[in-house]
Amino acid sequence: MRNVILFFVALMLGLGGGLVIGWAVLPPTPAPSTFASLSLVEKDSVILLAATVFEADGNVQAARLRLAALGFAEPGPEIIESVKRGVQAQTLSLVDVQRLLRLADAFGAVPPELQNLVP
Amino acid sequence: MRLIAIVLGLALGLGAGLFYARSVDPATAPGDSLADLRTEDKTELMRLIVAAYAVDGDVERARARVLSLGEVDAAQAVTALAQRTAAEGGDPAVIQAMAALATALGGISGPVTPVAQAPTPEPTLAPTATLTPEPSPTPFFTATPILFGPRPTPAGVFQLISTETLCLDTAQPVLQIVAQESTGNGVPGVEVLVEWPGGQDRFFTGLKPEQGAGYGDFEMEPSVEYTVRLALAPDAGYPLRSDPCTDGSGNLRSTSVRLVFSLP
Repeated sequence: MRNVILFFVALMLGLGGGLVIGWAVLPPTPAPSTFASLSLVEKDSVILLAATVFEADGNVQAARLRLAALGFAEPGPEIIESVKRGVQAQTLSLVDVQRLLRLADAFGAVPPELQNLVP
Repeated sequence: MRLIAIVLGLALGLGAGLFYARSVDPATAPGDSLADLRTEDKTELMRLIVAAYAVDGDVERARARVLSLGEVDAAQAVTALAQRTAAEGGDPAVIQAMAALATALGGISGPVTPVAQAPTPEPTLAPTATLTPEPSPTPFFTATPILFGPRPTPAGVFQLISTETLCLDTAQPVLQIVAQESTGNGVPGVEVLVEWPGGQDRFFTGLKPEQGAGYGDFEMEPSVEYTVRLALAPDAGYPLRSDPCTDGSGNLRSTSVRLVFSLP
């Protein structure tokens, strides 16, 4: 009986040690990022890139596909949220905001209070 | 007997724990930074960065964007991309834009022709909105072609202003092209066509920023008759050939040729 108890105690200790080693000490190589797994800050920078390129090519479909890569099925509201975050953090210039709103406008997503900023 | 129970328990527990931690529920969520993206996704973003630079002309922003991809040397990264794109027969307008950005990032003085507008100070808006992060829906990625603006063409037509035959201490003779403005500033992104009996190739200036913004080169074969043209002025062909020569150390080499073209 005593040996059985010792066995299960050792089993639990070994299990705990294995979890610590597998999760913390020697974890598997992290999976690469996907566009959809990027942080909000990184996604905002990609959104601004897409908006800047859209200013040159005016290609709504290409912009939609680029934003879809970020996981945005409906990109318009996401662009507006990105504008709000950028304005809040003061990381966007007026020109950047106008670029973003121009792209959001192409998706029909600019709310009335921001319409006067659309170039 | 007691020792066997302890060792057996530890071994089984350790094995089960490792299996669970590494295979069943590994602590490996996808990364959340641009630097952790796959190489092909980074390449796609680099192309977007080049296209954005052609719009805003903001070199420092482009540099920061390239570095955010985990690159150590932004100029080198864009140069490598331009060279790969050229080697794959990419769109000359795209290669020109890449060469222009590579040159600008390399800090080499000279015109950056693909820039559509000069960078201007941009006022910052005061905060007015509230932060409402949205969860990301299902991820997927579709590569899309980047449409660059109209191909920039330097004003005027390049004229050949000097031809120099060199006997360099190199195993392979080289055709060197320099494209410059009348002021002497190099012009990146100039497409050069090289033809020879049974073949042709092309290359661009500006893909070796360390040699100068308007520099480009091509490895020649000895005694082959070449014709060199600029894509901007394809009617004017310049015949040349690499002949035997002796370098400063008395070694037998083949001549390299350096052509300098200038805008009026």
